[in-house]
Amino acid sequence: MNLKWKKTAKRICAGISTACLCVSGLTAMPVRAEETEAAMGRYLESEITLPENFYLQDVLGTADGRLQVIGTDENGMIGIWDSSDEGATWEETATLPEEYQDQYFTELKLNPSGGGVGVEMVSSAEESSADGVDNYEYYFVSFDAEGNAQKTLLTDEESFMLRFAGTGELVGLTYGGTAYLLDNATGEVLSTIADADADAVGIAGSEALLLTATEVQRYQISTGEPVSRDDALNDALYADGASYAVTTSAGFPIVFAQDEEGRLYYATAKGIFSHMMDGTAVEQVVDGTLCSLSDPSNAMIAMAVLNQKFFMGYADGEGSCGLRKYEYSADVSSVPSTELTLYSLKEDTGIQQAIAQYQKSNPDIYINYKVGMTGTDGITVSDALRTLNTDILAGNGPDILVMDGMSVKTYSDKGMLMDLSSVQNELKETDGVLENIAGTYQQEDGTIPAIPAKFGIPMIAGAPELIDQVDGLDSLIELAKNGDDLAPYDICILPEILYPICAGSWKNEDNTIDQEKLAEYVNTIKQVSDNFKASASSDKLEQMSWFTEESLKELDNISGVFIGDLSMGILDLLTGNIKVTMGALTDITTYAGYSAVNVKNGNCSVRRMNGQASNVFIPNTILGVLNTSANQEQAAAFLKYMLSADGEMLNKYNGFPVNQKAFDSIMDVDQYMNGKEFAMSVASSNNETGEMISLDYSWPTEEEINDLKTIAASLTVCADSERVQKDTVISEVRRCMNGEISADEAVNSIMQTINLYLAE
Amino acid sequence: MMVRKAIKRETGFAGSGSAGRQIRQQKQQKSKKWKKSLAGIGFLLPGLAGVVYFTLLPYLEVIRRSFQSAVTSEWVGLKNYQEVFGNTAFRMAAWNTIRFTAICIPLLVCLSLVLAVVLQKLKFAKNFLKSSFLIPVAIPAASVVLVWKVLFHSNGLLNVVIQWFGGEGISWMNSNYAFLVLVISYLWKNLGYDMVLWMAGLSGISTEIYEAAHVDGAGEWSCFFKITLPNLKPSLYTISVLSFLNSFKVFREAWLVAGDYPNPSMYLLQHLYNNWFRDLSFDKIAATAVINGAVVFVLILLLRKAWDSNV
Repeated sequence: MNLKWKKTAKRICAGISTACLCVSGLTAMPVRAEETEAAMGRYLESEITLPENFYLQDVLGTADGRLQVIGTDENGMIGIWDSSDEGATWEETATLPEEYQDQYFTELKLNPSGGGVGVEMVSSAEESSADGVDNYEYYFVSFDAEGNAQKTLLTDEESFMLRFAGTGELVGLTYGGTAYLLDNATGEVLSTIADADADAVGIAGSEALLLTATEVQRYQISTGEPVSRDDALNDALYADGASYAVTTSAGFPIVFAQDEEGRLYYATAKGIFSHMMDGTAVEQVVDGTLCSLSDPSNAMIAMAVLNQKFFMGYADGEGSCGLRKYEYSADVSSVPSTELTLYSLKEDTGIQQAIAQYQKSNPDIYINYKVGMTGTDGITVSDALRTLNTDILAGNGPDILVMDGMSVKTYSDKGMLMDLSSVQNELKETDGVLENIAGTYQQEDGTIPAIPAKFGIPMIAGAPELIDQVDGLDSLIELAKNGDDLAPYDICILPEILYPICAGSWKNEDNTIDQEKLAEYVNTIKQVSDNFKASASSDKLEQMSWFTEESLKELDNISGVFIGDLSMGILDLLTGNIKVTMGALTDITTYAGYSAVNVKNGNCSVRRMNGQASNVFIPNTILGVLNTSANQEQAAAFLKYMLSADGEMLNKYNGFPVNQKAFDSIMDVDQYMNGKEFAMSVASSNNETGEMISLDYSWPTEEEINDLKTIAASLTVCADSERVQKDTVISEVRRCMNGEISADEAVNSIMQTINLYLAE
Repeated sequence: MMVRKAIKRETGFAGSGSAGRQIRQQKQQKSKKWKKSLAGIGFLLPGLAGVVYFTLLPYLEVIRRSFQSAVTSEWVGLKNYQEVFGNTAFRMAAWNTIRFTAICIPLLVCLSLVLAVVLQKLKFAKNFLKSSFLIPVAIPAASVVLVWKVLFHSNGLLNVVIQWFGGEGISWMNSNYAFLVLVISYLWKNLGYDMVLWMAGLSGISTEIYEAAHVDGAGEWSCFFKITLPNLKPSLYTISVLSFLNSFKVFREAWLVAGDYPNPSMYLLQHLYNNWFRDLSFDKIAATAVINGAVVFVLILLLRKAWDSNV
């Protein structure tokens, strides 16, 4: 009986346990939520029209509800402008005296109590110091609400960041990272707040927030006493290893503001965040990925909060600035209804710009930009592609592919890419298109699986008598016999420069590699390198050592850097350091630079460069839409934007546009220069002699522009941009250049690998 | 008729007679057996379900995909198989894999057996040596790769030693020596594991058999061939299968050291799978997986049969 009871008890226990397991399993299963209406409400971004040709340097929301800006007007005068209708209209309330006209201020800050301060940079009377670098003097300028100003010469280390507390106290942060309490009238240091090696400073009530490389430190402004750490703010600010070091004079990576209730707001590229000091949470108010805050070409100048709205002063990549308003709208969904995923192997700032602009005009679409190789995690091209393919197979693939470095043929042959012929046809009808470039991936059946948005042209620049002799690889070997004619950086990246104009001709009909042609490519590079090393000056040989394989890899990982572009040799050609330079021409500014060299020394021209293949162009920003995408229509719409004149003109440095209207526009003198002088110059100083050299760019002549247009129209061969093969070839060739292996060994090694790759 | 009645009567009284008790006992035993079997099946089911769900069904899916195109899933018949067999990269990888297996498995099995026997005989430092041989099993592949790189780089330790003795440095990873490096690495990594398996088999052989053989005048070699080897036959099957399966894992080191395209002598089937995955050639991967699976299955069946016929 006892035994039976035990058995029964065991069974009951087992039954209960099983039931518990089942119930817990069931509760863990996702239960389909009842479909509810999407949550509504989100901050939307809009542009505020500033006074004409106004360069903004600070923005402030005053206690009486006005929006106030300070900056330089079209005449170079510094003025304070007020708006009582949140930027709809502006009225100038004060102008600084004429002595400040056209003067450069490193910082201008409005005082919440009226008036403001600034730091004026003036070229010193002593023209230059012994080391050839110009000397500057810095003046602290204080002005009242009427524009009456006084200035004091700064003898101490100048503050590059000035911030007013709500109570009118002025905090200055020096380049050395020390924060001081300054006298509002003279800029004199009243006391040291902290020597914290800070990168940035913000104000929260009576506290200065010093942002160091690792943490945010709090100090009482008036006494310099440290305040206990705000963990929530610290964690939010330093999530993902964020850094707030200032890297450009145009703006800051973080700006702070406070509302009338003392709530702290800060803005970064990730968005605008809100925090009550010593509170436990930091709330994201504006998502940076949904607006221009994430646009890498923009830098934040200052932010103001007024009536629950945010006003962001920003500088763009073109040297101008603007003011944006972020206003809550209850009528739009809190998150965009459509999410598109865009994938590229390398981060591309041009794409980020396009995404930011597109999202701004399409608030219902969010574009999630995924990058395969961040450059920090050692992921190779193959690793990234395998991860991408796994995602595609799992149904989590992207909608849009930027196929730079990928094989368009592989994805197209597998039927993965949507036909973009309708996109191209529409483009043809509206803006026109460079069909020789845009249609390069057109299949025999007329479908177009991918379209390059931009392209580069392999060119050679320099003394006409020398570059006219360069036709094919043999002539390069001859040219290198006089090492001083060539640039050391060109020699270091010669494999990258010559690859696009050679690799396309290597493939045999049986899908193997033509050994002779590959050997010619390898031997040319080896001989050019050897000839250069044998005849170049010691200076140039030393410069070669700067370009190690590691440094080139690091360069390659930087967004927007194209190894092997033509822009590096402009000043060297001007000084006569070199006579010839090679690379891909990707923008009109570089072309104008060489034209300016010609204007100055009368001995510079630019020609198309042919290698084993002729009429080659280098495709860039190759766009494709995956057939597996659930949002093909929206993805195609984004592609249309990227290929439109507006989209193509966003970044003028990563290639010439395939959009005919955009292409004509950047070739059009009036459009680009606005009837004035080409607003660009470069300068460099010689380390040894201290001699300064500068070049004011001038617009290419009509003949030069026509030449470039003719070259662009004649390009018919698309360079192979597929990274798996390219990386293999360049890695072996570099070993050969360094003398680790012979040219024959390099050729054999490449043959083995590439033939295996092609056989697969 | 009478007989039938008698039988009926007897069965009618079965409950009280000895025959009836026997039948009842038999029934109880049958019921117990059935219950035991049911319990066994109950315990097996979760595991079996896992194997079916995670292995058999996916494999069936792979078989289906091997007759379809990569992405669009169009029926292509035997085209994928034709492409795979006509693919030079596949032929090279398959040949290298077969060559590697054919060289490594016998070498590993024999060497580990010799080591196990020697260790078994040792009177001292037995446990220390056993642990020492097992260390490579515990070392992660990433660490092994670092050792490889330090040893076999063109400017690595091995070449330094060779050059110190007046020899010429060898490009270990970029020449046919790469295959040798792969073989040595596999042996080094798996020797200890197989040795322990052999030692487990050796400890199962009764010492009394050896003592009796020695009394009968048998020598050490006779004991080894007449007693040890025959008694280790059951272990041979397990060790061979495990060694064979472990041989596929050598790809980790090969790939981490030399990447997607190593020297052709060490280009294995897994390299091909890996590269085909990058190129979205799922159709070819499926066909090759089916071929590979079939070969492994047949080999294991053959080993099993050889073992069964010898036991």
